[in-house]
Amino acid sequence: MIQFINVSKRYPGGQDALRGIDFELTESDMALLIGHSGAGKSTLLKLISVIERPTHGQILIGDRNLRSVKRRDIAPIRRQIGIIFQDHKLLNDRTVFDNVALSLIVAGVSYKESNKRVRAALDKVGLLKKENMMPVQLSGGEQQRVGIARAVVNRPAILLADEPTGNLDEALSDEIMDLFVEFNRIGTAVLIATHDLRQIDRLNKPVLILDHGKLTRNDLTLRETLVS
Amino acid sequence: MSWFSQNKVECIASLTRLLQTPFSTFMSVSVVAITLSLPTIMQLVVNNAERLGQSWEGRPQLSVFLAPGTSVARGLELTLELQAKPEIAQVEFVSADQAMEEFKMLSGLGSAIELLPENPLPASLLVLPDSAFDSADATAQLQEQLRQIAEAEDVQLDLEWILRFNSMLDIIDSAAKVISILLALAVVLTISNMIRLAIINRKEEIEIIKLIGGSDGFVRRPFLYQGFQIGLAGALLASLITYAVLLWMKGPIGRLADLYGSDFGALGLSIQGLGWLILTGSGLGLLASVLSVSQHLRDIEPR
Repeated sequence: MIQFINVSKRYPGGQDALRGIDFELTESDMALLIGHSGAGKSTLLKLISVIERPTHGQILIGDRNLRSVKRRDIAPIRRQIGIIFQDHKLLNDRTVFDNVALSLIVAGVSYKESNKRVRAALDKVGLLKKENMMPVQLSGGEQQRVGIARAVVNRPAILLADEPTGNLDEALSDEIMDLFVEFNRIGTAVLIATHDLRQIDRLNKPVLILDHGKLTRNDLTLRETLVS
Repeated sequence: MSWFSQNKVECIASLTRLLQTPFSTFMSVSVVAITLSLPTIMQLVVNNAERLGQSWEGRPQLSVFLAPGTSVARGLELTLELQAKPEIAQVEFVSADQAMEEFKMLSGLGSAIELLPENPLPASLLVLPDSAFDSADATAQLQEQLRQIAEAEDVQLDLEWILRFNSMLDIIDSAAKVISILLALAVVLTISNMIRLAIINRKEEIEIIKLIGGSDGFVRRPFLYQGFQIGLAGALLASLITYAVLLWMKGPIGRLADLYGSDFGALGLSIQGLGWLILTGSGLGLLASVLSVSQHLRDIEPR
């Protein structure tokens, strides 16, 4: 699914954000990416979502190498990835339904199909009754669930989440994390960047620990065939 | 969703977005409309002035006075020779006798003229240049050619003032074309700036759309529709302004025509002209948005 082969990223200022990262995340994997602030977690997620390009090494999603992917091929790759942000990134002038439907509109899904899938996604995150509300009328946890519904509605192969429970209380955090477990169970690869040590203990999933841009613990070791 | 349905949705969404801010949309459309109506009105004025010139027997005529003693047969022979030239539309031979008859009739001096020992009037050829050769230069060249005829004693250009009038119209027409190009550029810059502001206002939305897999084409489309719609609305409003201005000018034009004894009526914007105006307005709007979008949209990338 996602393969990182000796990936490094250096920003124009000369700062090394990531150094020699190797791991592989398969369809059945759900992993937690841990590290202190500035360890390189966000950079790693940005590399997968082609917001940044690696300075060295290869990132493969299927048979595509993200280091050399052309500009016009970025959008189809991003459609395979559902991204959830700590600050939700919702459009405040559109209803909950329209925010979620946006993922399907950009993918060219028909209206009839969109309606069905948006309602199913909102039902899954428990917000079907609030489909006509505006994001500002929702609580932080509900806004996060709208973000999750938008990320999963297009049935992505990979789900990335950057601190999805950062501003939520324990009960809501558990609820959100359980949703990720459920999506992973139906065949979506999930990679979550988090600080939440309680969730790491609770979920008992493979862990990637980043420290100053280096992987110090890797439960998703790269397959031998790839290394060779 | 098919390409057509997606475009239909984007077109309606873009129109709705414009209607959500009616005042600023009206202001923007008015600027475009005024800018488009100026060259339209100028062009209509030039067209009407040309028509007015034509209604005053606009095309110049050359009179070739033949030497005394030129026979009627030779006169008719010259008529046929000149008629064959491409730059000449029509030649009429007026014999000395015909000229005298005409003079008697028009002057009212019939009996007095009878007293003259011989006919003093020469035979002449009335030459009407072809419309493709009625410019000042071409007519002067033709005049020179006619002077080369052995029997020609004098060649006079009639209605020389029409040529001057046409030359002035040519200058005004050229100026109108240059001004039209400059105003078209102004329309492009105005709409381009509106689209730039729209892009800046929707920066966050564009970033999110790109993050969730919206292609460059998908992001670009609403802005292209917006530019097209502003141009189209501007052209429609410009046609109304043009009609209103022509209606207002109808009286003075009629009075001027009366002074020259003409029944000239000013022509307004034809269906074809309206079509051109709409095509130009919407085309310029689309061009402006393409330029603006290609310049500013690339800079907005998710961070």
